[in-house]
Amino acid sequence: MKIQLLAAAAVLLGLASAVQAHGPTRQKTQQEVEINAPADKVWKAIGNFQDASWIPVVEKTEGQGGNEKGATRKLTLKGGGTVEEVLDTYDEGKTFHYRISNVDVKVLPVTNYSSKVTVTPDGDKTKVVWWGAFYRGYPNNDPPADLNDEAAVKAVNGLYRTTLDALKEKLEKGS
Amino acid sequence: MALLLVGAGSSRADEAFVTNQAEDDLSVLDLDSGKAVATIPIGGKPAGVAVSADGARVYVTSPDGRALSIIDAPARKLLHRIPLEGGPLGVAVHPSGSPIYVADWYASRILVVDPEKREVTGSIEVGKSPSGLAVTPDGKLLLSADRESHQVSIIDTAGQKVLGTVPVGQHPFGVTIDAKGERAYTANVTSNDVSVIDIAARKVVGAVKVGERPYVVALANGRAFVTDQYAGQVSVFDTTSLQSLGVVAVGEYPEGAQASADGRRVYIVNWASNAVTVIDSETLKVTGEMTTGDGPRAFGLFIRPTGAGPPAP
Repeated sequence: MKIQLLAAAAVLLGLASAVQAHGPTRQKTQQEVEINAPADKVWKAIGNFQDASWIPVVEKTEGQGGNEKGATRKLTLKGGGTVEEVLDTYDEGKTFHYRISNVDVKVLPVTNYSSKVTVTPDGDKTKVVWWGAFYRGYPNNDPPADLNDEAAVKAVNGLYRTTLDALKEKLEKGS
Repeated sequence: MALLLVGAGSSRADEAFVTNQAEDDLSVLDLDSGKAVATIPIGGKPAGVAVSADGARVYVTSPDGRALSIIDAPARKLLHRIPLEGGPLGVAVHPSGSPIYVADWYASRILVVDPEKREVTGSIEVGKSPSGLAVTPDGKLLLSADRESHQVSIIDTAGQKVLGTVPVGQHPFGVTIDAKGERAYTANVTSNDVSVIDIAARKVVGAVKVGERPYVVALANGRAFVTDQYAGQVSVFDTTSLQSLGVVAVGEYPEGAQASADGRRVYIVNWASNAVTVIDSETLKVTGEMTTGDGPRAFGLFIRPTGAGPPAP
């Protein structure tokens, strides 16, 4: 799995100065998966904010604050790039909600990204929903194609889909 | 409509005109029944909304489509679509019904639009990325929350000139003026607080901590109701003491907020959960929920008075 890597165009456009600015239309998307494993097992795999190894593209997780509100983590991705994140809410066994505090649009073409992961038991199985809200990577009018609304949604959907499919495979194999 | 006016009320309840940004349209919600009574196609990712004081017109901005749409509110009909440059987002109507003020999200200006001529008649330079707009009840002053400049511009509407600026918290988005036109409140997105402005003195007289990512302030019953987007809650504080009165859990990503004309209820528009939450302004309990279209924002004054309710106190 490889998060969409973008052309150098983004850098040339001087995006670094516009960390907080964003486009006019926030996007939302979600992906889900049903896993043939009990919810506590699924939660054990994904519910520790300080261990994002369930996301295949993540090589290393470093952070502080455990699973408390305000906890931080820095994800180092395979092939380079980092993502810094902050935990906003945490409901043990059920859901957590976090946001990206720092990411380069070359790594993930979004700004003002926040996300929620929810684990729901369904009989012997478990449903995992990964939901995200974000603006496109380019904060101004007339975004280039690789930093527009569609590119942002595509990249996030790709990350969610690949990750959830890998999680299902890993947990069902191990049960 | 067979019924004529009876007593103090009319045959229609007050209505909410909610911009569904993801769905490119406008939901009209009957605030008594809680039901959608019409959907009006808009296009261009509508976000901002402003209802005229007499309830006849609704103005909607489309930042992606770069337009201001004029809607005949009682007829639920799109009358005109005025193309605008830049990124039209925040919008406000002068209490007299004209002009319309439109903030350009990508620039440092407010466009002045004549709704009869349907053209831009002026442009006012303000701070960076103007967002929320509000006009004092006497129509003399226009306030602009200049998001990237962390300030509010106070504008003389007659001369279309900035009289002064007031530094506020970080990234003010919504700005709300009280019924007397004395104080204004900005929701500061990144400093997680509300700045309270004495409009005549042009200075901040208080700052109130609220939840994560506040967007808009609604005023009712001597209280301020602040939508905390990331927290999925509304922070409430007393506008006299500026003391917190607690929080009310609402839907996900609450954005637009406005009180009913009588101040008894506050309507909260939840972007992520596609719903309007109704809060009793006295008990601070949630008393109802209404369904909207996808991605509702309702950034601005979105409630249309129909004369059905008692006047504001």
